[in-house]
Amino acid sequence: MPTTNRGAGGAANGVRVFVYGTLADQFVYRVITGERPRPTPAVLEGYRIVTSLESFPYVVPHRGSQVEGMLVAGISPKALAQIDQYEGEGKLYLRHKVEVRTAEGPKEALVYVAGPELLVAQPPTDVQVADRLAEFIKSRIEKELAAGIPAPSQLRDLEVLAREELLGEAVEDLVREHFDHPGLPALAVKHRLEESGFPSLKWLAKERDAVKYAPHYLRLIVKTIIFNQLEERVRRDFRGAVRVTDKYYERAVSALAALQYVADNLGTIGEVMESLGVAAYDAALEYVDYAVAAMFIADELYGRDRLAPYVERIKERRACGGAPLGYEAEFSPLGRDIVGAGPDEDPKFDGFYYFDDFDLGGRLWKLGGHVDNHRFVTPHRGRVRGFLEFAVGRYKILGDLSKPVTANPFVLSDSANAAVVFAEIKPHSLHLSLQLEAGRPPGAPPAPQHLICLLILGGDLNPDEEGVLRERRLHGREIYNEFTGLDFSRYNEHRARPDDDHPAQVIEYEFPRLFYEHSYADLVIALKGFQFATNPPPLDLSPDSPHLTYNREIERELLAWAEAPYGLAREDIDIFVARVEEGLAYETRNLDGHPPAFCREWLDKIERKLKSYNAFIRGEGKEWLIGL
Amino acid sequence: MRPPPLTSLLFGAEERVVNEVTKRLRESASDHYRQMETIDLRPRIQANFDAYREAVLAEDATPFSAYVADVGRKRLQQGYGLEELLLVLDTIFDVVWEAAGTAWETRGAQAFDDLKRLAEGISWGKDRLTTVYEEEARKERAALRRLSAAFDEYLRLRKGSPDEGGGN
Repeated sequence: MPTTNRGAGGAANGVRVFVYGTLADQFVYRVITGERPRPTPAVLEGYRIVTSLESFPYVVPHRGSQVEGMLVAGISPKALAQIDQYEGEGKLYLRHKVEVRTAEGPKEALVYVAGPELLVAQPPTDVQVADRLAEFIKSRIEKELAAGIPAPSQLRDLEVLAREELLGEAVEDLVREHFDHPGLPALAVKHRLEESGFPSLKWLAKERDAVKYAPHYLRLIVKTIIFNQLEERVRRDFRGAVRVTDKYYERAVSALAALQYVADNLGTIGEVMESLGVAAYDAALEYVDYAVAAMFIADELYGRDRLAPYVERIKERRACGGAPLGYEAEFSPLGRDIVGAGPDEDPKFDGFYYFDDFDLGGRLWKLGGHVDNHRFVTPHRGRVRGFLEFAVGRYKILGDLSKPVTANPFVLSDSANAAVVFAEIKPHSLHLSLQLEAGRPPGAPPAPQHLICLLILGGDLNPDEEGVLRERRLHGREIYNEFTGLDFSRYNEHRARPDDDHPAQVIEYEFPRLFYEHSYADLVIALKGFQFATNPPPLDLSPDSPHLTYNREIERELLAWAEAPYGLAREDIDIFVARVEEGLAYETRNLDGHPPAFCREWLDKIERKLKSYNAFIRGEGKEWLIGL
Repeated sequence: MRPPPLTSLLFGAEERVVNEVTKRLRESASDHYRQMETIDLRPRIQANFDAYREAVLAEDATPFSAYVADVGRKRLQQGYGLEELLLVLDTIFDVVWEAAGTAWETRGAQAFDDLKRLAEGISWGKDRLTTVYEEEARKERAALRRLSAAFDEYLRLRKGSPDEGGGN
């Protein structure tokens, strides 16, 4: 009979543990203990293993049955403590002493049997081993964070949470590293956390010029912390519903739900900030106080039932194609004038000059937040003025690591849209990226009329200051490089890991305008079809471009059209739509893309939009884009 | 048989009304509506107008009340002021009235009755919107007081703690 002696396992050097479930996976074992196990086969008699889709495997006593597993010997007390923590010893599992059969005869060992939580409550059905590992690693980091707080304190729990929030990016990095290199020593964890340091507002006392911008930065900080907190809870409470495959940014769906919820509650958030006295800069308050206020607000706002409709809506709008997609969204109160702007020209953020000082990179990491002045990006590159850019899926700005956001055009569109409402900063541009098929050679350069169709769908066709209709992205030379010319599209490489030898090849379209409360689904679908049809290369205007002469012609045509948009010939629209149809069919066929009915529906929408533009140009449309 | 004039007006002038309301809101003093593109604002106005029309023609406030209550709650959370929301209903009424004025100048007493129905419909919406908005705002204020007290307590404890500051 087994005993409940939890302190022994019967080996001279360390104890033995009989492993049969997730612990039998050597990788999992290494992540937990940092040790390389040398397991040998063993059999546990008198027990039966229970496995189901609804739970982790566990063993229960069962006369006449046996469980085949592995015996790991020489486990140190420290490693055993880590395993206890991982297994939720006393709750999820109970550690029992048993005798197992091995090739060398019977041996005493410890085994984790089903505990009360597993038997009675049953853990959520959608918890995976990776989730348990991540939680295990996080709990170790939390222990390190708590170690620096003078104990006991009534604020201890709150401070640990605030520290975890303020070091969120470092904590995430440590979890990632632990997966990649199991066994990260406690000292290294401690060192990394110390190195990251906690942000402070003390510097504002010396930089009086920055004080007038502080309320805008603080509002962004507080609402971003609220977003971060809600996103974490969405991941915890809707684990299965927001899970994405490893190929995509793991927070894409949870971040979208949280972002939409925060965007829908900005009025409330503003009022609460006023009420708590954190809407303005107060020299008596520190950064951590603003963080705690944000956490209080997040607590007040969060409710599983309140977030459920957001998660549900994302699930309902499931329309996964086969092409991984990504985006970058740029914001600036000054619009394009931010490039080259001097001090004080941007009355709210001074061109995000104090981005690093306010540690915005440390807050906005889930959204890939950084400053882009179209030369280089910050955080950690010093003070520069530029656009605030969200690059969701780009989880390391330094080192440029990223994953695509989604294969669902609605998730992409809704994410960009929610980011605009959330940011509360004048939206400027949207860069859409599309992962290319590995090894597929580029086709011929596109016809200018097809690029004009794309500009109609996603550019900025609106009257200029004199009331004359223009395509303002091109006409205003917003995407124009003085050395090479029009920046319509370009190739790029995206790495998911630093040692990734096979980065994903993407094409980035830089022409779309970012609007307030807008849908980009038609544009995304048209872009996919257009790209997959013939795989056209970017509009390369560099001197060594193989299509330079032709591309220069395209450039001239596009700029002329942007200055005085003209109607498209019926056959140009027909050919473009047919091309998109062809590309979507290619995606459906080869990349498990959208079903044909979905493609048909969106092709109709795209065609109607292009025709509505033509009607408007001919003076037949009542108002551009009305009635779609 | 020709449809009654009110039905004819509310369906016949629909596109004109929705477009004009959208345009006026985009040129109004409301920050929220000024920022929106026509393509994005218009569906909202259309939905509002549909609910209003249904209420007026059926002489039943129920669906319109439910619609404005739902929108009122949502917009409050999004930071829209009550004035901005009332402006939408007022603008719809103004534009419908203008359209009616043009269409009905020769119709005398019947036109007056129809205008009264149009006004009643808007009043139902405005009354319900104001009630719901203020009720929700009151609830928010109660939650605010609770939160403020908790945060004040946190600040009191932290200022007494040995680790005050937190910066490096």
